[in-house]
Amino acid sequence: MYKGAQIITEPVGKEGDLMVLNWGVQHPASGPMRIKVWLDGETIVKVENDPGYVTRNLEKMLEYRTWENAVVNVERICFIDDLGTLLNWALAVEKLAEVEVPKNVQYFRVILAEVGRIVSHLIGVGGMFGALGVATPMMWVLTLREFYLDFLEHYSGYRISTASIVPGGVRFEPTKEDFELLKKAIEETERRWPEYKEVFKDNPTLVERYKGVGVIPKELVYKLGLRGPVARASGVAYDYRKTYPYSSYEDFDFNIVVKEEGDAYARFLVVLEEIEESVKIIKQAMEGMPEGDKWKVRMPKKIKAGEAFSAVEWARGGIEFFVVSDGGTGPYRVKISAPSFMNIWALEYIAPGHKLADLAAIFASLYICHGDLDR
Amino acid sequence: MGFENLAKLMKTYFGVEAEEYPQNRTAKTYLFKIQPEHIREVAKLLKENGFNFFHTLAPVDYSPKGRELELNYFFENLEEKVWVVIRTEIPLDNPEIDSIHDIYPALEACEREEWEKFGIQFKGHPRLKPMLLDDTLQGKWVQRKSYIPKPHRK
Repeated sequence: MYKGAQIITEPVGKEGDLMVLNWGVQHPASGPMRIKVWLDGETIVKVENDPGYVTRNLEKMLEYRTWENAVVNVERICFIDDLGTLLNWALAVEKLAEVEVPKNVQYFRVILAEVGRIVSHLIGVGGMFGALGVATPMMWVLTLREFYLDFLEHYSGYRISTASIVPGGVRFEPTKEDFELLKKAIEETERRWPEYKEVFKDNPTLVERYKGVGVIPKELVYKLGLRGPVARASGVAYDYRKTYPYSSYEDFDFNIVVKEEGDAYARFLVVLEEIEESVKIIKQAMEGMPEGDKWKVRMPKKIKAGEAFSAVEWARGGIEFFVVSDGGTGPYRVKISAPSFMNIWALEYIAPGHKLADLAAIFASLYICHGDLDR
Repeated sequence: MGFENLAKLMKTYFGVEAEEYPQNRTAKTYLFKIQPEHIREVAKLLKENGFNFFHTLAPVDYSPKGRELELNYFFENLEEKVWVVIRTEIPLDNPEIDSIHDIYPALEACEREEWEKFGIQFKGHPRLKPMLLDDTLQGKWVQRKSYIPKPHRK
């Protein structure tokens, strides 16, 4: 929705000796968000975030939904990785209704959630290059991403916003062809990955622009409650999949990628290397898929009054739902606590002192999705 | 340090017992129901006892159920892997509570969001100004149950 003229006409230009700039909304790297920057020459003195250009107020919308058709709104928190939010919604509603899903459903949900993570991380890696004006890596990752989207399309009928994880199970029974497409995507990833990694990791443009830039110290992670790859790049090994396993994640052998440096390059490496871990998880889940032909458990139309708190590790970090039921056919209240909303405020702490040109690098490395920042 | 110490201190200072909170699917959690005027002292106690990670602030408007506005603060002790929910209730016609953004800076943005959506006045907050919502929705406190959104279709 158009934000109105009031904020845009705030005086920008000069403030004392400082120059005041609007970085965004139209900046190629900013996305639909404005960052107000106070500059002394080329150096950033102060930064103020102004999000809110894509607010839909999903929390209110969800109050008018039933338990099952709420997935339509939940998956639109961020379209790039819709499967993680769907999984969290399903887990929250199942907790409220005291329903357990069979092991084969849990495994298949893990596969879907990890596909969502790969799809999102690939765009994230491309976007981190895109912010520097390097377009080739974006094209490369998009071609690889297509293989995973083919799998999602064959399974659910949609490439993004798949609505494939619902309370009580998964929407469809996976077929043999689905798994073959996924296998093909994995093989393609493994075939291309050594080359991709070599080109991405030691890319002179990226290393020069990202190394030592935008350092987030460990204390700031605790101070601001930062989550996901941003926290892990600063040495905080927090990952819901390992810390508080859900949906049978404890069955799989994988590592949490943790870096100690805390700079933009470390955040880039965390995102890049997490793709490998996700591939590892998908392979294990496909091999060890338990027998079972039940893919959806019957869910009650009305769920008894109560509340549930649920959290999963989503591509951008831990996403948390606080759901209240009053015994009706839909939620009474849903609080969505999103990782980008927490992570974006780190920018106000770390950007001052850098050059204006570094702002794009720092912002891209925070791995923000505007959908879940504004909700 | 730690949860046991916190539970003891909460009992002595505020006379509240820790309740089990099984509704958290993720982790072991305890619930404290406190008076709203104690929020700052409670936040300091939490911080001193290793609850260094703030997760979320979730207000719920219970006015159609004959209750008031309920606030839930979620904190975690990363070393002990224990979560604590601080629950308090404030009146809806005068929703005021002390801001604890200086004790937990992560709350600054969260309090600002809930001010915008519920109209909760966080006393001492430096930046209670519009953030997410459209200008036409400011001051309508859209997350309250009394606000009925206009449907798109006729």
